[in-house]
Amino acid sequence: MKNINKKMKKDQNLAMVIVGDRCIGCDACYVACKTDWDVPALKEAFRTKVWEVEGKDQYGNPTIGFLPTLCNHCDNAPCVAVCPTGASFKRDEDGIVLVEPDMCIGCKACMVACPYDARYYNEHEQTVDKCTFCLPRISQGLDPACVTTCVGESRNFGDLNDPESNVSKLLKDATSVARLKEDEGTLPNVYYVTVNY
Amino acid sequence: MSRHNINRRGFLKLAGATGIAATAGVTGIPSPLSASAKKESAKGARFLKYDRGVHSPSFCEMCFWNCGVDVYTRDGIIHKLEGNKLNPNNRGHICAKGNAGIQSTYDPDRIQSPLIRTGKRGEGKFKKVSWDEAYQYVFDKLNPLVKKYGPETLATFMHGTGERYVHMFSVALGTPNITVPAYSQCMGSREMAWALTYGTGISGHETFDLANSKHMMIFGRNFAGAVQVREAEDFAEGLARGSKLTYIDPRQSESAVNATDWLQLNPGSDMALALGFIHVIIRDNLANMDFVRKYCYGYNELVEHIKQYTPEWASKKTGIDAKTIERIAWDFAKDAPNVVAVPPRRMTRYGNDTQTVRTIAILNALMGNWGVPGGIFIRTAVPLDLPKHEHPPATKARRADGVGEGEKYPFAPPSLGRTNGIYEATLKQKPYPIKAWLLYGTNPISHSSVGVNNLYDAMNNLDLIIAIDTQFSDTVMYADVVFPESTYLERDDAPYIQKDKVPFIALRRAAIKPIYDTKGCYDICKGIAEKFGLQKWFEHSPEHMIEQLLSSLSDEQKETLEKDGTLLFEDVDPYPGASGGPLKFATTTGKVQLYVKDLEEYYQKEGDNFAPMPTYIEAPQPKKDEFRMLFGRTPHHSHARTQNNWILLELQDDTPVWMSPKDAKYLGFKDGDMVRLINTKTGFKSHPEPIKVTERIKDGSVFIHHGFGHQTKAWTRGYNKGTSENNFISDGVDPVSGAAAFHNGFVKVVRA
Amino acid sequence: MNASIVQKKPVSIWLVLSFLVAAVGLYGIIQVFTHGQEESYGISREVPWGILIIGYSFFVAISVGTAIIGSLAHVFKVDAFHIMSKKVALISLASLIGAFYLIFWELAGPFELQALRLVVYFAEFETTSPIWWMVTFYMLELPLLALEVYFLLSKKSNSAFMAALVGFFLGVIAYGTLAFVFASNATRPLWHTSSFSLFFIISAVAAGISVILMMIFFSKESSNKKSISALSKTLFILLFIMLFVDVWNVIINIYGVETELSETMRQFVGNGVLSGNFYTYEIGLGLVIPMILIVVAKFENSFLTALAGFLAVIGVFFARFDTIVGGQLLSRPSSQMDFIQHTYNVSASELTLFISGLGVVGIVYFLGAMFFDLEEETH
Ligand SMILES: Nc1nc2c(c(=O)[nH]1)N[C@H]1C(S)=C(S)[C@@H](COP(=O)(O)OP(=O)(O)OC[C@H]3O[C@@H](n4cnc5c(=O)[nH]c(N)nc54)[C@H](O)[C@@H]3O)O[C@H]1N2
Ligand SMILES: Nc1nc2c(c(=O)[nH]1)N[C@H]1C(S)=C(S)[C@@H](COP(=O)(O)OP(=O)(O)OC[C@H]3O[C@@H](n4cnc5c(=O)[nH]c(N)nc54)[C@H](O)[C@@H]3O)O[C@H]1N2
Ligand code: SF4
Ligand code: SF4
Ligand code: SF4
Ligand code: SF4
Ligand code: SF4
Ligand SMILES: [Mo]
Repeated sequence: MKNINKKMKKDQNLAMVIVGDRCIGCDACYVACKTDWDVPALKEAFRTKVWEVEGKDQYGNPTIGFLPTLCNHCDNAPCVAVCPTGASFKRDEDGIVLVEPDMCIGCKACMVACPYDARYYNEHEQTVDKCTFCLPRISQGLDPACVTTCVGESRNFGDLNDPESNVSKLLKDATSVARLKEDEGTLPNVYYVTVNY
Repeated sequence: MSRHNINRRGFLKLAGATGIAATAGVTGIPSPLSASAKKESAKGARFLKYDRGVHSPSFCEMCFWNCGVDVYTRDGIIHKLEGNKLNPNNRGHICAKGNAGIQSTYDPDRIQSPLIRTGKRGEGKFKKVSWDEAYQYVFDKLNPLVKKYGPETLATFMHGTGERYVHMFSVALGTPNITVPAYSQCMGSREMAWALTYGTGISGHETFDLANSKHMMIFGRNFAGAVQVREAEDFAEGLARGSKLTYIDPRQSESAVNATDWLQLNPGSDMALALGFIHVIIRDNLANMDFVRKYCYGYNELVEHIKQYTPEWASKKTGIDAKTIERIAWDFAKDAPNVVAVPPRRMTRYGNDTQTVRTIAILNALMGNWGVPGGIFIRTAVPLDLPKHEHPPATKARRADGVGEGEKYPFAPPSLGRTNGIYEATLKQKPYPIKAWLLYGTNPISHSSVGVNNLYDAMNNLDLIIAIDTQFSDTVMYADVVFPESTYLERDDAPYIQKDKVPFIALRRAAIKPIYDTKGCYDICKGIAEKFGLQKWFEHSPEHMIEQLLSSLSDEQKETLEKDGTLLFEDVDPYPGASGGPLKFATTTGKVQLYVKDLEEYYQKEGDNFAPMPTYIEAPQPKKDEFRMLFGRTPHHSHARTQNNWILLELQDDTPVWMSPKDAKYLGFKDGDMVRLINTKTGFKSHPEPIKVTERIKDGSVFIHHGFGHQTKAWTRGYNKGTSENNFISDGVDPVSGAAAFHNGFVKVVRA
Repeated sequence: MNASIVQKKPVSIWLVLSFLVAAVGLYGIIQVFTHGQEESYGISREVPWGILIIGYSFFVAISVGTAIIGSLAHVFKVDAFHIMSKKVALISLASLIGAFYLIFWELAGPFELQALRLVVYFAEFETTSPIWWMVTFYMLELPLLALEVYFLLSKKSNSAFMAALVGFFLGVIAYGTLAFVFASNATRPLWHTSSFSLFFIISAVAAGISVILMMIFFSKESSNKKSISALSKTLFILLFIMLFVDVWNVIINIYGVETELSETMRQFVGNGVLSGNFYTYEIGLGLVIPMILIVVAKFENSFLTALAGFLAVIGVFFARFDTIVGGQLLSRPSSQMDFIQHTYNVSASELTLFISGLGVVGIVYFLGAMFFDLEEETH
């Protein structure tokens, strides 16, 4: 049985904390991620995407903002639950949700199940693919590629179980904390915060 | 049957069978095809490995900001670029274009060998030739022209790291007509205005201390969208630390994100707005009088002069309400001196640009923010005595572009020249025949007003066009002889030495051998020079200069530089203003010139454009049913050089026409409708573009992103994507700086 | 095999036709082999399930629909339905094979690995996965259907009865889990309703009856008024229920507060992206016209009822299309943002593969007809 317990116990609780108003919409993260992971040359193939959000302020004036998105490595991941082969799985030790290419049959149920459209079909690997929280990099002590390049220093990565980590501190100091579509019950591990420095 | 045979890496897919996969064999580079698709057995085990590969230091050449870059190579193939953490230009980050830089190398559409044109100009028919044939061709064509018209018949344009060699060749040959587009197409008016006021320019690596600012007042400088990494970082950092942001732009650009106020002023009226701010500041005694008394020249004149420019007056010109102007002026002054008013960077706009920036410069001076955190920092040169290389003597010949003492543009720097002036001289063949162009890393067809200026006609007057480039730009397609430069990832370059807040040196080492038959600019210029017997000016190769530099460093410094790619000289004080230290200004008066005496003489002759005290100059206005053509950078592309880069094309491959809801309603357009732009002067019609109806653009203007609309078929991906604004902009000139003015072009918008 | 059930007839024109229809799929097959799924299929990261999944669920619906009617006949002794049981069983089997054929093209990856993956598939019990259950059930259902056909042909009526009985339950359960594959997606409000599975089943039975009505027209049973009457009346009622549910579903969900569901429903009405499909094919062609035809046929004209069946089958296909696509066309990155309307355009490759699925069903069926004696003795 795969682990989809609501309150997961993990040695590490890896998380991304995005300081929302530091994102300048430069899309460096998009390109860094695609290059590092050989994501195919297709508009639809990406592991992270930054949305330009046009809106209105309280006086009806136009506003813009940016919303970086990626796989949320949900603690209650519907993509893992629906996967018939176990190709989609959540690592017990740190909560990273992965797709094992050798096991994926490409049924795309996980793509349908993910509330965040975080997955795509990778023509090169011929499997479904998505953000790995850069496990290959972090396993070597590096930051994820998108965090490393983030021009606005909007993206932060670390272990929430460690109270001294930068992400824990950011959450502690945050003036607001949100996760995407919390009502879906997915328990995401990507946080969006505003901070008063 | 297996579909593994189509399993390729992203760039290889585009490289095609004949592209790098083929050359890989030749140069002995193992193809990643064989390396890929190695299956692991344990579930997820493959995700625990990461081979970072071999590191080599470099700096980015995807734009002119030159961020420090760490290049990582696996099996002889570059797989990743990362920002160099020490380099002050970017502190470890690189932008989308910088990350996509690998593509510039692994693009089979690149120029792969020296070429000589065989078809008609622009047709794109070339024959492959040897390097010697190409050098000989230049000699055979250029020498007779030099004999007939003198060396000044050659005009050179250069933009990029190899500039010094092109410069060396041009000076050695004896032409005065050397130009750098970064002046007259870009920062000329801004630098001129700053120099007239402060005695020094803002420089390419701008001296605004955004990260520490308490209030950034930004006049149409898109820090977040026209990304130059350090500035974007500082901008974001400043905002995160709570800086106020007054963002002034007829268009709500990326930089308006988190603006305290976004002032959607009438295009071209920035000067009026700044004059209004100054009026309020002086009227309400908000200026930093300590600084003004100590360092400024002409305050009393300013007090008198500014009386006419009330907020109500400014409001009429700008469309910004007078109360708002007052409020923001008060707010801004409240946080002085840790505030900064930022002029645009590409200040080639309305023809009043020098005076507009003069006004902004004065606004800064009144805050006393010179050499103060959050204001304007002071640059220091790298404290190293590097061996001086001998240069050929510069010619005294008259320039063709009106730059020089006693000429039309006496203030413009001869070292940079007026690119736009050379276009004109070539078109008119006045004041004397310009018969040859040498273009290095610049593409006039995509970077000037081709529509009105008629660049094609100018180029038809030329007997010889030499291009040194990496790809087939629209201009390269017009060249007679083409020299392919190795990309920045394939070549060593002279050390990068930057005078800055923290001065530093960066290294660029070739990460891989050239994939195609290409050379660095040094070799190319030397090859040409040899034919003219000028090789003695080419004794110092990039490798040699790196050696020379390294040998002038201490062992420790040397190790840092070689290992980390960046060497900092941190023992500097960028904030002498804060420590009360005496400030020096290299102006005629030795002071910050609120009043510029140097202009008096010209003011008498030429009028308001040369006013010693900024005097409002109105930009030309559109007629009924005409729209002002605005344009600007997109964060996803650099100029007109990346629109064939597949990753960046994914991010943006079109140029929707921004139009306000009011205008769209008037014309009966809905969001997404297809329209064409028509140049009201030339009648030129764009191909259909979708319209983006948005309040983010001011009524009466349309906006498109710069850099698209390439007509070179050699670009298999970027060909004809989007529209080029060059067909719709003006060919004006700022009378003081001599730099171009592009934003007075007017268009009609019709349904496609 | 028992000699008595094997008898070779000349190759029928229908079989040739089926092969030709199946051959259309070569286009899609070549495309997917040379260019891969990404380029060949119209599906996208936001709309990952397209016409192949739709086709799969459509063929499975016919399979389960016909199987239900068949078993109603000889398990529950609904006499009027007791007609052409061999043919019905065979079409049920053929449809299921057609369904598997389509899903094969939907699945991705190097095909030599698929077998290996099948092993992996059952190595772990992915009990939270509706697809895992669905496949497991269908893995059992397929041999049962084959067995049923075999027993029917070899006239082992007791065994046939048992197979049909087990097959009936398995089929309904398998089909239920298929519905659940959609309905379990909490993110897709259009599917995530309690009525979803019910509607799935009703339309499957309607499709099953429709196919049988068409088969009757082409057989010597076309004068069997009793069966035609019973079947067409049942079809009429089912169509009526579907119409009622369809219309109310839309009305109820569009009224009231703005929810994701109401936004989704808006796609079906006004000038919503699916409204053409919905009005013309799903409602008009698929429900209203068949109902009129059945009435005009006075529940007995074999041509008109077959025509009604034909249109109803098309209607069921479009109903599947609209629901499956419609459930995916809206998404948004965050609950604070507006929905993004995606589109799904069937690509030529997908379409030819789907069409070839029809051919595959035909091939299986008409091969059966060629080798076996499908004609019933009268009871
Ligand atoms: N209409 C219009 N005109 C403009 C502007 C505008 O916004 N609109 N902007 C102005 C400004 S601010 C500027 S700075 C200029 C920029 O104008 P350019 O310098 O002309 O612009 P780019 O497109 O960046 O580069 C020109 C060429 O350099 C080549 N290149 C890139 N890397 C290398 C290299 O390593 N070696 C060599 N040899 N060539 C290389 C590219 O292939 C390209 O063809 O344009 C100015 N002109
Ligand atoms: N991504 C990316 N970044 C780049 C470059 C690139 O090509 N791509 N190029 C680099 C170079 S060389 C340069 S020079 C800089 C250019 O940097 P900027 O000068 O900041 O760039 P632009 O996009 O030309 O203009 C910025 C803004 O000016 C606004 N504007 C237009 N008219 C007016 C006006 O009348 N008043 C005011 N206040 N604003 C107005 C435009 O709407 C636009 O949003 O960008 C640099 N950074
Ligand atoms: S974001 Fe989507 S893909 Fe990622 S864990 Fe959550 S449900 Fe799965
Ligand atoms: S596509 Fe692959 S990862 Fe996704 S659910 Fe199917 S088997 Fe699992
Ligand atoms: S963490 Fe790694 S894989 Fe995930 S979006 Fe960032 S760069 Fe891509
Ligand atoms: S790199 Fe950072 S600042 Fe740039 S778009 Fe991505 S998240 Fe935003
Ligand atoms: S700003 Fe971007 S393109 Fe320019 S040098 Fe830096 S990384 Fe390269
Ligand atoms: Mo520039």
